[in-house]
Amino acid sequence: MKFLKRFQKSNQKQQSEVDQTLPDLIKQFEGSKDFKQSNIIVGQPMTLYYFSSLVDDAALQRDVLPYIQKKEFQNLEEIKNTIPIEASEITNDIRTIQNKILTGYCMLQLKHNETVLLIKVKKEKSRKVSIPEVEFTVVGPKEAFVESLDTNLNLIRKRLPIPELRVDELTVGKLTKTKVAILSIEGITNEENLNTLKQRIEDIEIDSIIDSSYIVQLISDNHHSPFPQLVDTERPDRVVAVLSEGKVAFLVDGAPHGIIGPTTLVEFFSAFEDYFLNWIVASIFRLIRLFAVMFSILVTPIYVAVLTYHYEMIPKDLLGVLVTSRREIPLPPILEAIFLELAIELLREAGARLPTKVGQTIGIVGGIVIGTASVEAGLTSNVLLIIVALAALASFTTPVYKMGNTIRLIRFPFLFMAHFWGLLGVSISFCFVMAHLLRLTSLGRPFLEPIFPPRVNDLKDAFVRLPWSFQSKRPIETQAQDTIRFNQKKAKQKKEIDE
Amino acid sequence: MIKKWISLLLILLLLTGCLKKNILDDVRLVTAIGYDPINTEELKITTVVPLFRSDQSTSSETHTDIANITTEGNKKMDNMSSKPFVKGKLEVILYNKKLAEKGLLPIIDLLVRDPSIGTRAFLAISDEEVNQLLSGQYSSQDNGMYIADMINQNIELGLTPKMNLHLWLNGFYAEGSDPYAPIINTYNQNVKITGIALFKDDKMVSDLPSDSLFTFKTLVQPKTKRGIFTAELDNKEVVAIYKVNGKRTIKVKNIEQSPTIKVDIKLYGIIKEFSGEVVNDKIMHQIEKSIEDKIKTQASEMISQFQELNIDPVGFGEEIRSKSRSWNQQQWNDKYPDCEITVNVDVTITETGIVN
Repeated sequence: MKFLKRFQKSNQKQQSEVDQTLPDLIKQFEGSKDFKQSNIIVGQPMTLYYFSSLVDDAALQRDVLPYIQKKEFQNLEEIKNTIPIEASEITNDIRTIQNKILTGYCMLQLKHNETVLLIKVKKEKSRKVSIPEVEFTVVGPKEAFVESLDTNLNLIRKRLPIPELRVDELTVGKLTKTKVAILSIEGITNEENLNTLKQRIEDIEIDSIIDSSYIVQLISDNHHSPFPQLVDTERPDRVVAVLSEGKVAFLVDGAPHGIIGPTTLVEFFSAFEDYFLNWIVASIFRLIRLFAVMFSILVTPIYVAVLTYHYEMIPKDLLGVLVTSRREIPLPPILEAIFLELAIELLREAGARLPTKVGQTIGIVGGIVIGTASVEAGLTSNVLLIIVALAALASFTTPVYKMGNTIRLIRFPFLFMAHFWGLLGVSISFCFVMAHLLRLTSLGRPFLEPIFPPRVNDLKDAFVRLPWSFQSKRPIETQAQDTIRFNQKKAKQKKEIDE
Repeated sequence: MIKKWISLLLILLLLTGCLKKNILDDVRLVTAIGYDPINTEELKITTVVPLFRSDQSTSSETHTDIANITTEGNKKMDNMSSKPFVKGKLEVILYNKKLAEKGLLPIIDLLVRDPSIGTRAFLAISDEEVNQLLSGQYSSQDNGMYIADMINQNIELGLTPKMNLHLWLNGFYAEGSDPYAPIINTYNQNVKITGIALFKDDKMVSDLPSDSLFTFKTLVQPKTKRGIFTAELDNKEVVAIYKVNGKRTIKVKNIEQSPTIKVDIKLYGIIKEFSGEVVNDKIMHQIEKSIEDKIKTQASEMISQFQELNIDPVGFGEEIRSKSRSWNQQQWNDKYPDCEITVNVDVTITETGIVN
């Protein structure tokens, strides 16, 4: 009850903000050192208000001040027409005034009128578009998103020069007022997906949004799942590709990642480079990646299970190698495995937190010195060292970073179950993960598609990527309005020049 | 919900106490087990345990104990060792011939009842004392694996018919067939397959020498591959053929009353060695003919021997049982020795080699 009262109180407070008058607002702003006001006395007395930290000084001196000091003006309309800046507005809405001043507009007030002129003289400070670092590809475009929403939208719109590309803008976060742009293509994107996404973002109740991953966590279908349910990418070309498949994407101001949905489990294991390579090569690489995931999750648990319970399963030629490598080791297989897995996790964590150059050194020192020394000291067997190192390597092949983290995390429950219940435990854990994945959805669409529900049509771009001529239909998963991408018959016709 | 999770966690953590752990390096893996008779009551049990050395070489260690026929001797052996013996990696089971003649069932039961023992372990009979055979030093492997590899190699590439614990039990329990097992003996610091032991139920009743192995294998297995067979032509020339493919089909007529059985053997082979000079069509025909004759006589003799002993390693009874509605073990046992069984052999030589 107490909590309800507090909630009502905060609502009242918000109400009062709206009832603020212009002088109140100015008074509130004057509390900040970087809020400037200057009086201009040429004809009618005018006052210019702005935040020096948000406004481009050069533009103000060049495009605003010379014009308003030139002659006398009767009203704001005249000034608006004189100033060579398009983004200007006359308003008396206190809410608008507040928002605009806080996003780099300067306010011009005649006498003490309630109606003011807002002129955009925003200071643009943004990183230049650079090479993608997380999703680097050898072939293909090398542009990555930056922290500025306008730049990011530019990167997408220049790739999709069609009127159907729709950008819906929402504001999230009571304090940060972060802009979120939802992208969709009219006539292709299913409205249901778009509305689900829009509604979920609108419903977000939080004070600050620092990055797009905040929103991802807040709008995920299952908040408690370790599996990411929306793909994040730093590649504008990937966003464009999935938009044309009928998916929805959104960009967040201040975040160098675009978010894509609805998605499926296999999409997390498809690198975008798969689409740039020949389909045979791409398919095999994708299968290798999927194998790597299974390998990474299962190999250490199977080692522990087999060595602890099921010695019968070891092929007789391997028996000697395993027994000799383990003879000196005082620890049971589980402790040995945990020791090595933890060592690798420590190395990864240390490498991630340190600057690149130091990180490399740590990797070498840790990898070689600790690895060799622990085998020589008889703490771990060299067979397990190889297995764990390979499993770690395999887990890094996952193209989406967040999924890679999940893969490394779910190894540990498997490991403990392998120790407690042997291979039965591994199977139980596997069933548990499968059941969980079956229940997961992404923006309300099944996460395990095309395996379940089985959709043969979508298998063309899941475990393998078939050639483009097979991809004439949009995936069923997105439930796109227009399912046909292009005419398959026409695509297969190849006219020779001499025909 | 929370209750459910807590109970799940408790089950997970508490029930693990009930599981028996067999950590690989804390157990002694028995790779071969051998049985010798001492007197009517007692058995001498020999187990082979590999010793893995750090330089990757392996030697074997044998443990011997004397046990009552009906009790398991391995429990006693545990008393002598710092680590428990486990039989999950058992590769070879060896029985002394005298034991096999008395019947294997009471002893084999100990191994069949243990779920950790794979039924793909090889079962073999030895004329010598098994304890001596298993204690020898033969190769850089331990004796269990060495003998297992030796038998396996002979089954895959040589003349020994496919046989392991599973197939032996199948032959024993199936109605209308009897089991057999290879006989192994030491030979010049090595172990060699010297023949095949034939069983009536679980008792060994006879054996076949090693030179009839080719015919025996082609007779008992529906499909065979590989193996070398030598024959002599009328003009004393010797030929060796290498079997590429062999097919055996059994045809039965007059199933319900007095069955007559026709065994068709089809062989495709290539000439490996020939003491004569030229192989032309005429000689090739002769070669085919002489091989056909030799296999035919061997097979017919073998079958009449089986009929005399009233044993059925080929599984004629099973073949008839699968086609007849009124098959009866007792009736078949009476009919079998007088059954008319004819063997037809057809040899085709597909290659003569590159020497003209």
